[in-house]
Amino acid sequence: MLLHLAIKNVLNRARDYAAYVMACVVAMVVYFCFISIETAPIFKHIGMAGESLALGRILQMTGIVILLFVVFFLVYANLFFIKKRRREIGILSIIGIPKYQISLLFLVESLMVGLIVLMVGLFLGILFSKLFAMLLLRMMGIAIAMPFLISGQAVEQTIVMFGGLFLLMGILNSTMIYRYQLVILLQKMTFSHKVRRPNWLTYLGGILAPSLIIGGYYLADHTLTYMPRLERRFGFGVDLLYLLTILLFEIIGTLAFFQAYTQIWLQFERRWKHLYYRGTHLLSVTNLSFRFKENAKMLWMITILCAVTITAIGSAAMIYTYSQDALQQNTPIDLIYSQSQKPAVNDILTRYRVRPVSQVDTAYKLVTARFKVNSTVAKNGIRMDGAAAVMPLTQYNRAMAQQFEQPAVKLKNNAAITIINLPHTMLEAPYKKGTGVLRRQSVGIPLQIKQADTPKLRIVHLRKQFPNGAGIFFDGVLNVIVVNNAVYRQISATVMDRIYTVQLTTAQQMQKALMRELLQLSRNPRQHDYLVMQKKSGTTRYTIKTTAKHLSELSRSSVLLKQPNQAIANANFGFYLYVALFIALIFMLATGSIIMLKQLSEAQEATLQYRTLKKIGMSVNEIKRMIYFQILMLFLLPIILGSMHAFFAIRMLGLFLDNPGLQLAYLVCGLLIVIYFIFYLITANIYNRIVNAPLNSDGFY
Amino acid sequence: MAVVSVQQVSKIYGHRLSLVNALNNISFEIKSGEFVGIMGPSGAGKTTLLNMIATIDQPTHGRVLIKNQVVSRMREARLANFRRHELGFIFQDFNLLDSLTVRENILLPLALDKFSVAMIEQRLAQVSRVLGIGNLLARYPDEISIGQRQRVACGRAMITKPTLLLADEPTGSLDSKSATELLQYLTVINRQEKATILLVTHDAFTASYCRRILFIRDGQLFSEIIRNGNRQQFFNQIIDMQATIGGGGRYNAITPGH
Ligand SMILES: Nc1ncnc2c1ncn2[C@@H]1O[C@H](COP(=O)(O)OP(=O)(O)O)[C@@H](O)[C@H]1O
Ligand SMILES: [Mg+2]
Repeated sequence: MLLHLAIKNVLNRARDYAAYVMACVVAMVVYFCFISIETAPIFKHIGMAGESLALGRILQMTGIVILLFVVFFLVYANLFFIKKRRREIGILSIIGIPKYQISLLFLVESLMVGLIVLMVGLFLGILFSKLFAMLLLRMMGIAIAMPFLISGQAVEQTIVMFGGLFLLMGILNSTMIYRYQLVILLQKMTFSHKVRRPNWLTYLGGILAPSLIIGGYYLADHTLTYMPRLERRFGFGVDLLYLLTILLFEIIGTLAFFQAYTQIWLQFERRWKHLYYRGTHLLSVTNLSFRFKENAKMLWMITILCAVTITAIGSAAMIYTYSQDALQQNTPIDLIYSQSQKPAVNDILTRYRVRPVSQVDTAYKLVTARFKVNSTVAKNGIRMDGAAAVMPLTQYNRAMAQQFEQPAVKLKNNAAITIINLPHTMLEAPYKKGTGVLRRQSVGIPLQIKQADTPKLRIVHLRKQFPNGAGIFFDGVLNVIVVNNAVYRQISATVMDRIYTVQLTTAQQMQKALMRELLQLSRNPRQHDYLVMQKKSGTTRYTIKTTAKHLSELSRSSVLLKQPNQAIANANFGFYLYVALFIALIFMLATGSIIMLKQLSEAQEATLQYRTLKKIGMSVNEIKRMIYFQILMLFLLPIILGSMHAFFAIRMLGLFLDNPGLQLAYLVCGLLIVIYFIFYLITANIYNRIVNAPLNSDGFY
Repeated sequence: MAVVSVQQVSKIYGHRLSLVNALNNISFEIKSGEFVGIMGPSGAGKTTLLNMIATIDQPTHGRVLIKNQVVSRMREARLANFRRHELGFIFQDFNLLDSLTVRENILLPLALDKFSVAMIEQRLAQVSRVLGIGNLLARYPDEISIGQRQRVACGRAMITKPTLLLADEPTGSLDSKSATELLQYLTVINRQEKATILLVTHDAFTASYCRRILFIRDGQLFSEIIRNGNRQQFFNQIIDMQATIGGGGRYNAITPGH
């Protein structure tokens, strides 16, 4: 009998149940997919990419975050669902069904739903987990044919987790009849669209909100101006405080924005009668005013979540770009080696009969140079004084063209290019950004080379890309100076060094044995190069020493190999991006569905209002337009504000990472916004269908 | 001139198995400037009839003409427009919008029609003077009494100067004092503004303010009485007729027809 009633109940409320079950299934699929990656044999392949310990820890942490979110989401959905059914409990009680039976009924029902969710969820989860795993491997750039594996541990863990959760929620639901009085259960949920007139507190919040938000943005954007100043006065501890201040500004500002600013703004709109008394404007303004008030905390939370998500993904993308840049700068060509390694490398190349695409050697001289660059972080500028590599212009141009696809540069007799290993965001460069062209009034930075009879030089370009890669220069050689060929010949140095670069074909790079031997050589070469400096009466003499012993002098990587490092970096990044994307996906799904559920729960209660409007002569289309507009506002504001927060956060991060390209970050954010927009369309559509039924449909009286 | 013409209207609700014949071949006319009441026991089909005239619902058979336009055949968008311009509604539970002030509630129909601000202000002043709600304009609906709320609803219905004012049990949730006030206002509107009013009620006191009353029972026109004496006499007539419909009473039923 009871089972029969429970089944009937489920069937009767098929539509409500469908939404609830779907929400639960989505939560479960997401959870399962993640868990199965953490526990499955697939994970062993990930371990191959190195750093497996760190990756494992990140996976674990992410797992916890996802678990918390899933629990929160399920409980929320359950609350929402059960709230709709309070009256039903009351009515069952009134027609004389004993309390324990009602309670049992709800328990049985909850467990039934749980069972269905478990079955459907596991089935879809297993399907999707394969898809996600393939996506992960793809993103990590690992090519492995994956068997269709079901991770038993993941299945078990998911069943235990969700089974427990459903049991808990079932108990919670079934005790509802004992926890509330009948009168409360029977009450129709009252719903009022009442708007309060703003008080002084609201006005204060309204003023505070934009000031805090914009203030925070300003601080973030001028971090490199203010942070060093504060550091000089209060020490380095102030950095954290500075960042926390920005964070706090944005968090409080956002709350005030939704609680107060929107109210003031909409109240202000009401004063403009010519606009306000025009068409549906009046209704939109008051309805929005009510909705913002009602949903302020939710919108705030969602804005912050959006900001965090976009920042996480954006920075993952940015760090990828950064590391790719760094890699490219360190090893801009397939194989780079120093003079001392020439025999060893040549031996390998001949043994494998490798005919490289190109093989170039570059010579440079070591000198002592001195100059000063202005910086935003150091008050008196950064003084550079020490060993520098001088290189002739033709060789520089050739290397840059081949390795960085840079156009050739021309230099006058007294001009020089300096390549400097500092984040260029921190330098006040005397050139117009991007083009490297000097400002008219300044004539560059004076450069002094400590050599007899060298002409007076001035630096006209500051650059950060080292020809032949930064890694091949000795650790103590801070800069490379490029001069005109004629000037180069005038400079007499005690030390000349040669660097060899090799470009390989893709096929050659795929030869495992060859690459393994080269990698072996680059990791432990038989001989190491050291730069020995001897100070003698004010001038420094340099010598390069090659030996099998380990010395404490300045050293360098004498063989640099691009391919394997690139692959490892790609795998790591793919993994980070995957985890970030996963979290983002969950946040988006959760926040999207929370707004959706909340709006739809209000829809039922707003039906009367819209019926009235139709009776006094608004057409179905006018109302539809109004609804779409209002819900758009509700969805749009958090995502706009969240994106703005994220934009400034990413920009700030970019300052420290020397402005890597942000295209990837923007692309990912765009993708998230698209998902969000789909949620909006669905919500608006359902809302409209609930409140905007034609008047003469027979079902209503 | 007939403002409303109801011609052989029937309405059937429900599906194949449970059909309800809410209206059964009803015909009548309402002339410009009339104050007509519709009475009948609960479930007689009064609301259904009013909804047909209000263009909120469409008849299964027959047709409804308002100002010689067949409203029962109009499309939705045109109907909305028609309702906005020609009809005013007063609902039993007012249906004021909580988020709007009294002022905004009243002027809403004009705003929807994109009237100029000056015009809106002028009409608003006029309506609030007639209804005596000038000092309530800045309040919200839940800050005024129930009687006042019904007057606001009345103001919202009147402000467009509709051809026809429709009211479904307007006094249903009012105490007798507020009800009397509202009915007096309706009488004033009927006299001064020459508004045609059609109201549905099952309360004899409310009905006694009308000039003519149509009785319906089981979806059919049962009889009709016209007021020619004072209100008290009319009230007694109504009571008798109600008794007749209920089965028994001093008068025999007058068969419908003119
Ligand atoms: N939308 C509807 N669907 C089915 N039956 C309806 C509907 N509206 C009204 N009815 C039925 O039509 C009859 C007349 O209803 P109604 O016009 O509301 O009566 P009154 O307003 O006179 O009390 C009633 O029996 C009612 O049950
Ligand atoms: Mg009725």
